[in-house]
Amino acid sequence: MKKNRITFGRICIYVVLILMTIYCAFPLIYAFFGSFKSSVEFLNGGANILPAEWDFSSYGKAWKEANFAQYTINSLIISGMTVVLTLIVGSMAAYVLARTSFRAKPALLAVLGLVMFIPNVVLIFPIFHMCQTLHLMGNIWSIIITQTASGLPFLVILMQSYMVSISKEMDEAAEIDGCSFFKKFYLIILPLSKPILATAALFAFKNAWNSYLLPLALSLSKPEIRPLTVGVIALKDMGEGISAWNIMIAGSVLAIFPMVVVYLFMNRFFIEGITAGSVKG
Amino acid sequence: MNKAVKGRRNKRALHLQMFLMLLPMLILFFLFCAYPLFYSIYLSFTKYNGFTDPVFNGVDNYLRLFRDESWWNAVKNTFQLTLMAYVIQIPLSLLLAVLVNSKIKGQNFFRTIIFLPNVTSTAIIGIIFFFMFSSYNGIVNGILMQLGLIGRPIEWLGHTFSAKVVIILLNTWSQIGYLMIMFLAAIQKIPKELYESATLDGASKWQQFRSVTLPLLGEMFQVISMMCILNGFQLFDSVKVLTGGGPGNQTSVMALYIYNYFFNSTGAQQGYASAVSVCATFITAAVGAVYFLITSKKFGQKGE
Amino acid sequence: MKKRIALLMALTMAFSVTACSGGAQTETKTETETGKAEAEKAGTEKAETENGEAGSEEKIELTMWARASSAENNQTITMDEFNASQDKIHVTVECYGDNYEEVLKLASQSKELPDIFEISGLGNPTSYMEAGLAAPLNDYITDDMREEFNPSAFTKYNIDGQIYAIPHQTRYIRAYYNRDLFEKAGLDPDAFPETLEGMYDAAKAITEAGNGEFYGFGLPIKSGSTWERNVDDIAILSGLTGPFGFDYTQGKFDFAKQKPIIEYFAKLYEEGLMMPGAESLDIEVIRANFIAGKIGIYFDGSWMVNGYNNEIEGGDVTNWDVAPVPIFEGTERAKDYLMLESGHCIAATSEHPAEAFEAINYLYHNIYSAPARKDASMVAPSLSLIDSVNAEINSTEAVKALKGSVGLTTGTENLSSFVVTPHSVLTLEGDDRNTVYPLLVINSGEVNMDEELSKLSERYNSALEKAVAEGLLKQEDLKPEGFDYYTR
Repeated sequence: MKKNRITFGRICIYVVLILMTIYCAFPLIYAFFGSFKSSVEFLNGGANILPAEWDFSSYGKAWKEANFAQYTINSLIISGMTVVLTLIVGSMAAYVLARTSFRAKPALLAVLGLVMFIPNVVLIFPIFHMCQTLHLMGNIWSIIITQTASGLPFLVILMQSYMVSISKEMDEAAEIDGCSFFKKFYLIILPLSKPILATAALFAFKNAWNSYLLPLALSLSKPEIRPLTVGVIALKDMGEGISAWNIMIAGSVLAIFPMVVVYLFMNRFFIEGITAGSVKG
Repeated sequence: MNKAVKGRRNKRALHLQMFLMLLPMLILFFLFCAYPLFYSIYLSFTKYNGFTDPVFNGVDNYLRLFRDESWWNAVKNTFQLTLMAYVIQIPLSLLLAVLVNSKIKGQNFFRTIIFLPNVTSTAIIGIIFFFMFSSYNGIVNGILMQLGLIGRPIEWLGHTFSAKVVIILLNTWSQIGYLMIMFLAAIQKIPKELYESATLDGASKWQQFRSVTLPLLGEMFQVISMMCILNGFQLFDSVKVLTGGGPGNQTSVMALYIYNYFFNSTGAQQGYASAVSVCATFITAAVGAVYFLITSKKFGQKGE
Repeated sequence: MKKRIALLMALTMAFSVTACSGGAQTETKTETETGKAEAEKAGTEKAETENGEAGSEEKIELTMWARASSAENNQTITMDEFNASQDKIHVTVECYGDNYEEVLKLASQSKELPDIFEISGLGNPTSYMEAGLAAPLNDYITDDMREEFNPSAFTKYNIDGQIYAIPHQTRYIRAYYNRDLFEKAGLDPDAFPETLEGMYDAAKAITEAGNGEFYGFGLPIKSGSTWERNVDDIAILSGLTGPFGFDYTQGKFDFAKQKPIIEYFAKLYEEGLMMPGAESLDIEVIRANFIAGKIGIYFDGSWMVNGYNNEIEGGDVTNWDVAPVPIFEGTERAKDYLMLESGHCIAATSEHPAEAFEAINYLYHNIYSAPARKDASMVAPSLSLIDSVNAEINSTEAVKALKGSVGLTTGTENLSSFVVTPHSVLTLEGDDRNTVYPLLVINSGEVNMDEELSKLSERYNSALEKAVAEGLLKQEDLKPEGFDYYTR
């Protein structure tokens, strides 16, 4: 009797989880197989996920004609450099905020927290203006720097809350040995913070890779510096043309799957990162 | 005496180092956050077409804002979608966290796949959802029709209600894994002994959940709730790609409304767009303030 | 764990390396690409282009910005030819696609405009001219040139007697239809209905014959331009209003006059004669479905005859054709709507305005036959404002045999433009027409159409008053003496 009930409960659990898994994986599977359909088959639709005839040409076209090679390089540069900048700038700031106390610190932390709530779109136009003043417009660095700036508040708080939890014994010992403030950061805190740095790097990478609005606005005047997200969606709004569905789907797959692969290899960092961040809240 | 001087010098060196290490972040923060915010506020008092000099026009933009029905409709939609997302996502993610936490096979697999959508770009997935839900040749209608559940294609993105449903489906799709992992982290922090003693007391699984899990989640529950709500206020990518705010302005949200005024309008609308931005910031900041009030109160209680 | 971090570091390093080399690569790539293109075109000048910079030192370098979305378009082809045709001037064309207006706004703000810029896709080109960003062209326009061009070319961008831009393209609306679907529905594909009532019957017959496979009419409700191309065009042809419900006989907006046309489309929608999903469809989706044989009739711009014949996959397979837009039975046909929003300005900041004008002049005379010269199969019916160019291109056998060219060229003598289109100048407070109309068509049963239309007119007229007060519009242009939709 009891055993039966457990089995029934178990079945329910599996049913719910399997349904959720399908829901979560379906769009990605659909896109993946859709990218091998011919334009006509894709347009005709229907209930089939698998292509009737495998057509690999979309990828070649996307890569060459739609300039995806360039977009992919841009996405890599933007995401990679954002990670580097975020780690350098963010870890230093997080260290200061974790290990010292000064009068403006609570205010600074509160402001960093509040800033996360400002809708991104509000700042876009003035950021535009700022980039122009700095003569960054049309330069890929405009995207990298603004992307870094927009992600910093969250990541600084994330790193700061981790660094706070690192025991102070080591740096006290180092201080007695005559280590300067910066040296303590470099020699002790940084090595001890590796897990959170890795998480922050992944977050920064993910956000930069997936970011749409910011690079959209900043690459308006220079299509050559577009990242993949902007490039793919630009195919949808071709204006007086005709959308090349198959190229667009292939492009979407190209834009999504690198991130998926990175995640599948490193999902521990993502999940640990969220957990670490949520401890503080 | 000597020691004091040395101490002061050390202190000055420390302060200098602190300052220098904070500086890069402060510069970025000032250039790309503080300044833009103040510039928006300045522009909101002007009439500005984006390329000739802004002309000061007092509070005209704000007066216009209060009369702008479409804007308040976008605000209403934002609240509505956020609430819908909340009502669906919070219970569902909690349920999933509990299920994934139970002793089942493939726990890791489920966790990984359910979190997977969170790493993808909402804007791009928006395109894929757009195809899936397109009324004539979308696979969703295709499957529903093949199963005989519907006779003719549903025009998912063409009607306000169903379009909102698709927006919520997409939003849930990309957020659910994140919220689940947060709940999971919270659940795993609850001491096992509590459950053991509850089992000894003869509490059923449901009773355990109600009397142990839920109350101990308290603090995290607030945090996750607010994340869910703030995520709702940032809603942009998915709506832009799925409906573009249409039909009419019926599915527009705050961020999209602002974007359209900044980038897709004729005439001198940039000043007005700035005023709308300032308004949106206030609305969001108010919600943010509530968040801080609630959480700091919670932390305060805990401290006592 | 350590290994993974090391991997991460390695990745980051790799990115920073690509960051440097990536940039350099792009530059060299574009250089070689343009180099190649020139070499192909130049022929005789091959040696010089291969040397790259060495030869071009004495040349005057000009930059031109275009709205086109692909790098290979008739403007770039023509300009490459221009570069090869003489050794004094070299024009580089940069294309920006959909975001063109934003780019231009930005550049205007920082006074970094290129020597030549296209004005296609701009909400209000005259504001650029009035802001002093465009150079006056009167000194360059010779009498001979005036004779060659359609006179309306010189009136559109004329401010106080000075001409600041010359349109180069005639754009107008035509009905595109699928002959095969007409036959399947038992209709005569050679007799496209001349009345809207007839078009309704045809749409109905096609939808019934299609039985879910194909549909009578396609209306891309999500696209903003839909209403200008469908409702406005019929209103203009029927002598009701100008573009965007502006009535030149009253000198103000009167959207109520467009009501019967909106009701007509609402009826098509309600009775399911439109391709389903119209509410969320963009024009490109409609085109893709039209060419895939899913749509019987839809309205589109004259340029799509070129698009389908030359650029779009499947355009050569589908049996499509073009006809003039129908009007209601018993209505007298007024002048057709000629859109002249595309043309070129020379920046006021340009150091070489005379040379820039030379380039534009070459462009206008050669742009329409450019695709054909590039690839003999890509012939184009002419849409030029220069009659001699039209005559030359349209007399070729290849153009005569082209799909849609008959429908495209019938009644072109009836085309006429509006000198002032007030809607593009206004700073509107509230939803614009393109946001309101979709709801009127989709929810025709639930909304009070009269009320919505009068609110819309009110909104536009109050913005109009402000624009007049600010001096953006002149009263005498809004209500021209003796204006008539039939003779304008």
